[in-house]
Amino acid sequence: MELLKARNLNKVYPGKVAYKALTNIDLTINKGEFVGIMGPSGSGKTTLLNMVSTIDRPTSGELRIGGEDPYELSREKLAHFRRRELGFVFQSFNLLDTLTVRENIVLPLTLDGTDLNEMKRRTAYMAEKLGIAEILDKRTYEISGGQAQRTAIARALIHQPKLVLADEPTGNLDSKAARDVMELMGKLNKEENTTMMLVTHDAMAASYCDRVLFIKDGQFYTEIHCGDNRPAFYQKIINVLALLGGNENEFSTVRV
Amino acid sequence: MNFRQFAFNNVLRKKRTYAAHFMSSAFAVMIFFIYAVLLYHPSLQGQLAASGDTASLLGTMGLKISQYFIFIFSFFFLLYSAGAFLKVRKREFGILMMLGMSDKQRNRLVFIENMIIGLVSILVGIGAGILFTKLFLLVSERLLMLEEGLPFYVPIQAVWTTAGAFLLLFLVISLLTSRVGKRHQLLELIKSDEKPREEPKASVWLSLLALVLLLAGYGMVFYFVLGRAFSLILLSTAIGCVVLGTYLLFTQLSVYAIRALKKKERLFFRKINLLTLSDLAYRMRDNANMFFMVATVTAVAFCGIGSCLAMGDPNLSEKENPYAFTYTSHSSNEDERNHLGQIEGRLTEGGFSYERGSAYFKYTDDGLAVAKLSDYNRLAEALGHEAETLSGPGEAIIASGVASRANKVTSFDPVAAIVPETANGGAAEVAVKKRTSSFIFSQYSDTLVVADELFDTLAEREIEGWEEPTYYYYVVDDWEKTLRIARELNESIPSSEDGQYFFDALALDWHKDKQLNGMLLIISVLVGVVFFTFAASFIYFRLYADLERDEKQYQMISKLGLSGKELNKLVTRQLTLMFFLPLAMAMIHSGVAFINIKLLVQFPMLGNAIGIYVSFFLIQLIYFFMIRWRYLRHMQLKLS
Repeated sequence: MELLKARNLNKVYPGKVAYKALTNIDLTINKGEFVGIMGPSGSGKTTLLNMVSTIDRPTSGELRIGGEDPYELSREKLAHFRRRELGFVFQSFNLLDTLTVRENIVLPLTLDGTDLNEMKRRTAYMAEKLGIAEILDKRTYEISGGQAQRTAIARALIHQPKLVLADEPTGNLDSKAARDVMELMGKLNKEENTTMMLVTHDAMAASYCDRVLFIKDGQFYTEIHCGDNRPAFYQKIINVLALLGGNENEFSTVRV
Repeated sequence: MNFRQFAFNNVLRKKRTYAAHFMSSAFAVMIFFIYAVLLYHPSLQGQLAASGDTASLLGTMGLKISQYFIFIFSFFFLLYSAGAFLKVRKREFGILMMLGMSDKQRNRLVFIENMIIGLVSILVGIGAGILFTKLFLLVSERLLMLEEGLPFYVPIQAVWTTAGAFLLLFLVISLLTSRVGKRHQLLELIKSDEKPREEPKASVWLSLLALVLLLAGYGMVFYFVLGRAFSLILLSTAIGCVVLGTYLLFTQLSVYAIRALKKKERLFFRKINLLTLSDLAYRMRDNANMFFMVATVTAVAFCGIGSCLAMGDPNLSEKENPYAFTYTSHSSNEDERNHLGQIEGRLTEGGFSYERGSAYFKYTDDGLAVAKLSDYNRLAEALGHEAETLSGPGEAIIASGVASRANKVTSFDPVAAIVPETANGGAAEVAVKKRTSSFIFSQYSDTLVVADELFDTLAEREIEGWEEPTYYYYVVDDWEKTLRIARELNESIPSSEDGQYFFDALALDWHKDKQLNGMLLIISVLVGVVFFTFAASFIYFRLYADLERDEKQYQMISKLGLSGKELNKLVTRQLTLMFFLPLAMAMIHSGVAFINIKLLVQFPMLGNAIGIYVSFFLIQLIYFFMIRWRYLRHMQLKLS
C-alpha cells in the first residue's frame, strides 16, 4: 500500500540567480518501508525531506501522504496533520530545554489533548523500548547525545504516526551511539511497522534501510535495495557513493 | 502533562530569561501600589489640605498623574518586552509547530505564559508593596512634615485598584502579543539559529544625517530659549530631530565609526582589539534599538526628575527669610493695631521672646527703593547683625536684595543719584559707602539705606490707588516652633478683601514648601526608580538574548587560546559599552535640556543635575558590576 507518493516535485529558490534545488523527483514509499535518501552535499536531500515534512512548499508537483495532499490543508488542519500523521527526528535533536525528557516525549500527545493515563502508558512503553526509562525525569542538558536522540525518536513515535522523517539523525553522534540509534530505528520499523524516511550522509546509517535512493544535483540518480545481507548492502552503498563523486572515507559533515 | 502544565513549565523553568522582565513588571506594580496607598490614605488629604491649596492639589494631581504615567509607560514597556521574548524563541516555536502546534494553541500558549508572569508579578508587587507600606509611610510622613503622622492602614482599596489596573494591562498585553508576528514560514523559524549573519552595514549619509539632526535639534532648542522664539512647533521639531538623530546615531553612526576603526590596521590587529571591534559592530547593530530606547527613556527621566526638583528648590532658597511673621499694612488699614496686638499677644502667651522692627520704603525715579537707617539698624540688631553708621545725609549704603544676594553681587556704584521730587526741591546725590549682604529687607531688588533726615525730605511716590505699605517684621528665635501659633493667627487674621493688609508666617511657608518639596521628591524618585528598572531590564534582556551565541563564540575563541584575563577584559569592554553608552547619551541630552531650563527660568539646575547624574551613574555602576560578575562566572563555568 502506498503511503507516500510524490510526482514531479520541483523546487526553485528565487533570488537574483534562481536556484533549482530539485528537478522532477518521483518518490513512492510503501507502508512499513524504511527508505534512505543519500547524495552529496547540496544535492537536495534536505530540500526533499522538507517538502515531504510539509515544512517547505514545492514549487510544482504533487505530493500525497496517506492519500491526502498536505499543502491543500488550512493552517489549522495542517497542524493537526503534522501532530497526528508525522514524526520528526533531527540531527540537532531539537528538544525543548525547558522540559524534562518525559515531557519532551509526550509533547505531541499534549498538543493533541490525549488522556493522561494513555500518555503515561505510551511513555512507559516507548521508554522501555528505547532504554531511556531511567532518564525520564532528567532535563535535556543532563543527558548525552545518544540519549537525546533516543528521546527525540521516542517523541517522534509516541503518537504512532503514519510516517517518521529523520534528517541526519546520526550526524551529531559518535559511531557507537550512531549504531545504537540506527539499530533502534530498524527495530522499531520492524516491530511497530512504522514507515520511515531517512536522509543521511552516513553509509553505515543508510545500510539499515530497506532501500536507498540517491540524488545528485537535485535529480534522481539511482536506487539500490538491501536484500538479506546488510554488510553487502553497505558495500553497495559505498560503491554508489564513490561513483557519485563522494569519497568512501568521507566523514559525515555538519550541514548548514 | 497537559497543555496548561506545559505552558507553566515553560515559564517556571526559564526563570532566568524572564527574571528581568518579571522584576520590572513587579516593580511597576509596586510603585503603582505605593502611589495608590498614599493617594487613598485616609488622613493624608486632610493634612495636606490644612497647609494650603497647592500642597493638596499637588498631592492628588501629582500622585495621580505620575500614577497614570507609570501605568501607560508600563504598558508600552511590557508590550515591547513580551514581543521581544517571542522573537528570541523563534526556534522553539518552530519545533513546536513542527510537532503540530496549531496557531490557536500557539496563541493560547503565549497568552497563558504572559498571564502567569502578569499574575505573579501583581502578587509579588503588591506583596512587596504591603511589606514596605509602613516604611514608606514613615518616610513620607517625614518628607511631608505631617504632624499627625500617617498611621499604618490596610490599604484594601489600593490593593484592588492596583490589582484591577494591572490585571487589565496584562490581559491586553497577552492578547496583543499572541497576535504579533505569527505568520512565519516554518523553515525560517527552525533555521533562525543557523543562518550566518550578514556584516552590518552603515551609510555615510545617514551617519552624517545623525550628527546634523542632533546639532539642528540642539540649535533649535537654544534658539527657542535665547531667541525667545516660543513656538510649540519649533520645540516639537527640535525634540523630533533629537530623537531621530539619536536613533540614527546608534543604528548608523556607531556602526560606521566602528568600521572606520577597523580600517586602521595598526589598531585593529592589536591583541583583543580584533575581537572587540569585530564583535562590537554586530552587537551595536543588534542592540541599536535597545540603546536608542534606553537613552531616550533615561533622558526623559532625567529631565522629569530635574524639573521636579528644580520646581521645589527656589522656594526653599527664599526661605533665608529670617522673619517669623511679616505683617504688611497700608495706611488706611483700620485693623493694624488690633492685628499687631494679636500677634504679640499670642507670642507672649506661647512663651516666645520676640523683637519687632518695621520698614517703610520710598522710591527714586529710577525705581530704587530707599529706606531709613534707623529702620535698618533696628532690624539688623534684632537679627544679630552689626548696625551701620552714616556720617551724614550725603552718605548711604546699599542693602542687597534677594536677586543680588542670590547672585553674590559684591560690587556697587559709588555714587547714587536720588532724583525724587524732594520736598526741598532739587536732586540729591549720595556717596555709597558699602554694600551689605545680610538679609534685612525682603525686597527683590537692592535698597538704598540713607540717613533719617534725608529720608524724611523725600517725597512719596504717587501712583493712582496705591499707597506704600509699612512692613512689620517679627524676629523670633525658635520660629520653627511657631507653627501652631501661625495657624491660629492665620485663622484669626483673615486675609483682607481690599488688600489693606497681609499676614505672612515663616513657619507656614516653610512647612508648605517642605511638603511641596517632599511631594515632588517622592514623585520624582519613584518615577526615576521605575524608569531605571525598565532601562536596566532592557539591557539585561538584550544580554540574555545573546547569551547562547556568546557562549559558543567564547568557547571557540578560548580553544584558540584566549586566557581568562583576556576574556574578562573583552567582556568588560563590551558590557561597559552596553551599560554606559546610552547613559552618556541621556546625560548629554538632558544636559542640554537643563542648560536651557536654567537660561529660561533662572532655576539653579547645576546642583540637581549633578546629583541626578551621580546617583544614576552609581546605581548603574553597581548594576554593571553585578551583571558583569554573574555573566563572567557563567562564561567561566561554561568554558572550563
